[in-house]
Amino acid sequence: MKMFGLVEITRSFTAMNTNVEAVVCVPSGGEKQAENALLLVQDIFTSVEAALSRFIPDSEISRLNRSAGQPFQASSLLFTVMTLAKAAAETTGGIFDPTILPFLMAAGYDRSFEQLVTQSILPVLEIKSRYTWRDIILDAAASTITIPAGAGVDLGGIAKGWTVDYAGQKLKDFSGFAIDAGGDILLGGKRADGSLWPIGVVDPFNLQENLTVLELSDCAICTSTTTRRCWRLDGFSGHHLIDSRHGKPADSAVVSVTVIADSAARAEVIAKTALILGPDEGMQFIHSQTGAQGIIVLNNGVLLRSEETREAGYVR
Amino acid sequence: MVNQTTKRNKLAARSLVVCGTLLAGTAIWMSVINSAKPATQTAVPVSDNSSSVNQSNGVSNQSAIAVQTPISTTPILQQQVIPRFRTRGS
Repeated sequence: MKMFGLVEITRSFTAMNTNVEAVVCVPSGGEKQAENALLLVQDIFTSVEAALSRFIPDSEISRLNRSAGQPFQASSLLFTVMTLAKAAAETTGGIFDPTILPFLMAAGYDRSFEQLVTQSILPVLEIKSRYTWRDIILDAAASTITIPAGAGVDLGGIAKGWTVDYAGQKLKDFSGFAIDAGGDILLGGKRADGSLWPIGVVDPFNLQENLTVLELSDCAICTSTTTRRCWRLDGFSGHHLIDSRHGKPADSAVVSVTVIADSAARAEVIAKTALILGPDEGMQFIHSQTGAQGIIVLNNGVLLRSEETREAGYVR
Repeated sequence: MVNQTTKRNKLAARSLVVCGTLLAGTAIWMSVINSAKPATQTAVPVSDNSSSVNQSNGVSNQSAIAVQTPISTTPILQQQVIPRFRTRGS
């Protein structure tokens, strides 16, 4: 795209088991600067994945989980994201909880999703975790993290959101930029033609269709849904959105929640929490979060949406 | 001549009546056909009726803060916009 002397430079790559696309708008002739910035974005994703993926045995978070019961010397990256996760748990009253890893594994999500759908998986385990986010001890002075013996943490979604936000900071000097990491999207400024970024909100019942197209800028938009990363095991339908109150996949009437917020990490956490809470509490929670707007789709096809999401987009 | 003129006048009058009847019939049929067509060119307004929500889904009228729309209806965008990105969900 080329208008007003600006061009959009794009880089696509795979990281965190998903496709990532980053775009920056630069004046004609600034292509090299754009390409360098986009390479930096890719490096950020690669390094965060190497440190925070629980599916990489040698990652820092895997080592933290193996060190449960004793203080673990954490890098500034792990310490930062864990601090963010603990704060998110507090904000959501523990609905979002990074210590759900034992439940996630018990539900069948014990390996990366690509392997999960092609290999036989373990039977559902009954686990009574005694631990919550409150049991994570962060020592900022010593830069150590301690999780109780027998506990485990998963930073999957919030780590991806944080990575999008962190990478976005590296692009903020461009007149327009966007990062899409598997549907976790951060948008800054405007497109090369001066327009806002049109974002399709996928219909969870027909993934080829959009529920609506929102025109956005300077915000993040993320969707949590039970229709992706789901599996079937011994007649049991599992998905990755664990309700920490009972330790099993959430069974609310909500199929998907899309949230617009000021950062991808916030949007990710708010969307996940709203889905677990259900329609009423979920929408109330979204509206209780400063600047957040949401679209909730119920399993009977009813759509709930913040008034602002109608004003921002072309709606049915 | 008079008789022939009168005959021609009567014939012309009959032709006019037949033509008029045909035109009127066509007009009626057109209106019937048009009324049977869906209004595909018109944007359908979104229903904001929050009281129609199924209570069995745990949605109470407190959700009036949100707009509730059945999504089973045919999507009609007010303007065709091609999304640059899509929220696929995770």
